Amino acid sequence: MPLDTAVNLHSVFVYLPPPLREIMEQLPRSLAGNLEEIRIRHGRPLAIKTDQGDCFIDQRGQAVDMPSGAYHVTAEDVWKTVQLISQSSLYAFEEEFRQGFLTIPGGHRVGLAGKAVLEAGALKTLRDIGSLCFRIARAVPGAARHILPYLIDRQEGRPYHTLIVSPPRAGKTTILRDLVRLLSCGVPELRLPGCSLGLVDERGEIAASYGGMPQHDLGPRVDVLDHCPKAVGMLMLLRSMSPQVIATDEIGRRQDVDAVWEMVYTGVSVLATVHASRFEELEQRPYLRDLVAERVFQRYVFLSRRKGPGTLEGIWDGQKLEVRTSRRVG
Amino acid sequence: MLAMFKLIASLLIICSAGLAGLRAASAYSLRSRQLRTLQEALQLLDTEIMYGATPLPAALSKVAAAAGDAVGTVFREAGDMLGKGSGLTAGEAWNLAVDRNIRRTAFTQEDRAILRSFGEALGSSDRAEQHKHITLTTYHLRQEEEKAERERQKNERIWKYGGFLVGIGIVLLLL
Repeated sequence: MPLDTAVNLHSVFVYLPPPLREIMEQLPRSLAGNLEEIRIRHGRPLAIKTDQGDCFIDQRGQAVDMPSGAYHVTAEDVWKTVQLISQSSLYAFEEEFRQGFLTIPGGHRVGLAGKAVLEAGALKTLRDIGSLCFRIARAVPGAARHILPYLIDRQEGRPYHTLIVSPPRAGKTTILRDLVRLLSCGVPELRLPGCSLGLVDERGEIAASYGGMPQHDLGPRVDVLDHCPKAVGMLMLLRSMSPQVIATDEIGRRQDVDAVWEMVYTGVSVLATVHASRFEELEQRPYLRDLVAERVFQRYVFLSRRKGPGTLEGIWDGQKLEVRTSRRVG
Repeated sequence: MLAMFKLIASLLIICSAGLAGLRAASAYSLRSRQLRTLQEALQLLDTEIMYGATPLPAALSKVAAAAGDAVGTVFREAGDMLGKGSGLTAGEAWNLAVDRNIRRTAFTQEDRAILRSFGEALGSSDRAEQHKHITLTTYHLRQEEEKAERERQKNERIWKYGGFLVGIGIVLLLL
């Protein structure tokens, strides 16, 4: 199964101001079907990215090679887009602006760049937004089905502590999301009953909750702590919701690693992701290397974009032994 | 028979003139009341923004339910337009709602100008800025309310009784 499945693009385009919406709705099917990103930069050509690479878009929604022939984004386009993605309520998204992105219904992420406002040396917010990047989220039910059998400890009857290792845009979040769904639903063929999961969705990307409701199907046994810092959230969920598995993404900071240490001695399985391409890179990361050296994680799932997003490069156990040879997911 | 007819006609004239006067008088107190309701509604919106960080579509609907009548309608319509994904910004939706409903209220052109300038910055800044903006708008509205109150005190009684007096005057002239 390819990682790119149909997305209701209309649900993304309603967040574009009328002139941009009109252009994007005219995109040829070949581009729209594989749309990964929409780039809106003040005074510069409107650009999109598909699995084939990036291109500029002209007034009629056609791909052009030269920037000069493309539609140039106006200040009003940018301002209105910011208004639309925030429901004209910038004050309600102060934390998201501080983080530099927000999530819109459907789980799509909109990245922001502009002028940073500092307070006492720390980033307070962004203003005068000049660039936006819409990243189209695609839930792919079944994307992690091939991986799951290698992540279950049959003797103990629980998932191993697993770390999904992948460079950006290689399907890390998609795989994690599907693993969460599979574990929550249970897989009868593997004689795996559903287990209750706590999901700390710090960036609002995995569940893409909107108004307290996950926008992606995560099965019936998931409790989501939305936009909560990972370290605090993992401990909170452990105490409040007594999960069997705790899932979170992009660990790396010291406090995240400390929280993982706490988790592994409580009988809860940890399912996490991290940005890296190779095992050696993990061993060089300041805090992660302790987790690796102590063999906290029992499974490492390596992903890449070599044959498209979600290419499975291999699954290793805690002793760096390969338990599964490379093969593309799906 | 003729006397009876004259009596009825006179009563009709006095009543119509009196009612017209009462109506004019009530417009003065209605404007004061609506300006007060509007300030209360903005205070509520301020609370939703400052402490609830509620996005505008939901915040405007909440305020609309609390404000009721014509003032509430402006908030409700603006919130509905914003929540529908029509591509309108908060300012555009607010100004459209004000323009559509201003006739149903007792607001004057000055009040409308204040409302429109409020719409310009609605939702487009952080909490502290929004708070300042609402406070400023409320201050302007309070000034208008005080002005409306002074006018009401000056004119309400004149119109209330003046209508009946004019009616009696017309009757006396006709008799």
